Amino acid sequence: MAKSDNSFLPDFSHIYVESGAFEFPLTDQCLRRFPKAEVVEISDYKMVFNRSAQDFQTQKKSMKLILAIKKPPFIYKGTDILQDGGFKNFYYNTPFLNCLYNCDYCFLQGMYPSANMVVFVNQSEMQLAVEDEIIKRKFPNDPLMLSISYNTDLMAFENILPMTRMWIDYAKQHPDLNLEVRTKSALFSAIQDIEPTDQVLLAWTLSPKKVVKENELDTPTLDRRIAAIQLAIEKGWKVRLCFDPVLVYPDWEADYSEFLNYVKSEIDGDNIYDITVGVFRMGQDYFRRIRKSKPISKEYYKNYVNEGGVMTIPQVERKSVEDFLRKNLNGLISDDKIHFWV
Amino acid sequence: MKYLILSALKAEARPFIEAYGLIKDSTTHLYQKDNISLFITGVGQDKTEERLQAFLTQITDFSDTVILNIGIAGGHPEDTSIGELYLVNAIHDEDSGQTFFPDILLRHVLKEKHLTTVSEGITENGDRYQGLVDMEGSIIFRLMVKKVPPHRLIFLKVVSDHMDVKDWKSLDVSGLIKNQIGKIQTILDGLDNEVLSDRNILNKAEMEMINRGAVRLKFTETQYIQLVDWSENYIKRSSRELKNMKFYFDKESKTKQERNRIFGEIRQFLST
Repeated sequence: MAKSDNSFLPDFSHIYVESGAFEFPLTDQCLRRFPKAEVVEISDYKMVFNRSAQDFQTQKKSMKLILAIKKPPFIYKGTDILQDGGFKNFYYNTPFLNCLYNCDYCFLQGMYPSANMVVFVNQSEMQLAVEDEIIKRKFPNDPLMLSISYNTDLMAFENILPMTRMWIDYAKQHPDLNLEVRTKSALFSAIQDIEPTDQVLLAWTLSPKKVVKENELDTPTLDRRIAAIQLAIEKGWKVRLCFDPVLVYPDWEADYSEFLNYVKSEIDGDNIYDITVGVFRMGQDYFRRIRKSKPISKEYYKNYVNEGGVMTIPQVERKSVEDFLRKNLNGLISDDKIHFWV
Repeated sequence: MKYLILSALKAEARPFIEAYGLIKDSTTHLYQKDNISLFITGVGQDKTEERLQAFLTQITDFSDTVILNIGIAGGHPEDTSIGELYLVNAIHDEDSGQTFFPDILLRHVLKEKHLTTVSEGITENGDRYQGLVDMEGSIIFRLMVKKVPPHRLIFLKVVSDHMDVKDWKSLDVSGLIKNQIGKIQTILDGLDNEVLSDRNILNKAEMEMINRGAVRLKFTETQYIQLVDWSENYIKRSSRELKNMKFYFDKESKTKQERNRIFGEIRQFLST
């Protein structure tokens, strides 16, 4: 399902705009960015986004943009599935819904009925909610860690809307706020002029070349991601490496061994803030919804176990992933800086 | 792909019947030849709903069908040209206030417009409606989206008037549609893309085998669902066909124990 079929319209050929969203500067910015787009006015984004019978994977071939006004809640507490990386006050928010990329293991295709991207244009209201939560946070001696790229890849969108930049600028005004920007993007170049800050953790998900090619559709190559990481480190940013999910398939160890050796050869562990490792896991409802859509990807036809409502690989395989990663990451970074979800 | 054209009037349908050599089935009232079918819905939401509901009891498989509502529409006098063909990107039902959105995923050469579906023909003050106005679009979307995803629902409208016509009979409906047959054919050609079809892991023959076997062996609903899941896993993991499973479906189960034993054997087979 790669985007090679020329018969499909380019992404964002259509922009659906909530009536109330027209007055926001971000709406203006988006519409100027896509001057040829067909603009369709709507009263509520859910009329388009939540329609029944949409086909996520077919829509991925020509994603549309929806500009909407977010209603509360503006901020959410971290879930068990989302790694908190050791941060006590861990939250996420949803500046966007959905992602430019199309990783076949991604939960978004089970979470949302549509592959179209929603951009919430009232970011300032989200920021007010963050300030409120900073005051109310449970562990006042620790900063509030906010993942701003949980239901999307914010940095991948940076050339369209500079949202990563906007949130980093915002964080700098609030010393008790830390940000995690999780990404597979190579677009660090779009924010490289920003003065680095310890409040922001740039977290790159890395996978072996075979996984990038077969499972992470439309994403930058491993080499481009590594180049982006190297540049971020050089500029003085805090960088987290995410090996998540580690996919288990016949001979996965050979691919991951080569991959981890390559990462170690390209990135100096002393410059890495920490590492997170995870295996495939997904809430059972999302998994069932994806499975019902008869996905082409083989990931949904593997031998999974249901552990407390989470579909994941069997314990014995999780243990082998942990052992393998511990062994192969040895020497790159100290053990206490590796966080596992296995 | 298969195409099902829905038109309100015989006069709208006639150019397609002639161009594609469609033949009417007197039982289903469906005009058909090769992969193109046409059904005349009648004018207005009530008649369309009644006829489509009856029609839908006769047709069950829409897995690779694109549904096109093609017909004439009134157009905003400053925004549309008489005789021009438009692609609809939103359908507003004036009575219910609901709005429906077909997914427009494929490249096309047409201008797009908003469509309002009304319950009575508009003969004056038509400029209060943006874009296009018809009398069937919303009910067609509402009924047919239960059968196909919104990317296989296409609404094509030729502007016949600017909602100022007193004598409808003065319109050359067939002529208006006939003039656009070339563009409509281009749209059909663009839609001939198997990516638009429903995705299936099990083919029709495999599904029939499982369905027949599940009835014969008296599997429970849960067992049936598990059987389909495991069969899909088997195909995706092994890239093998299911035909060897037929052996199990030739058996019979007279007791629950027998049924469960055969079910266990099938599970074992599918796990290899």
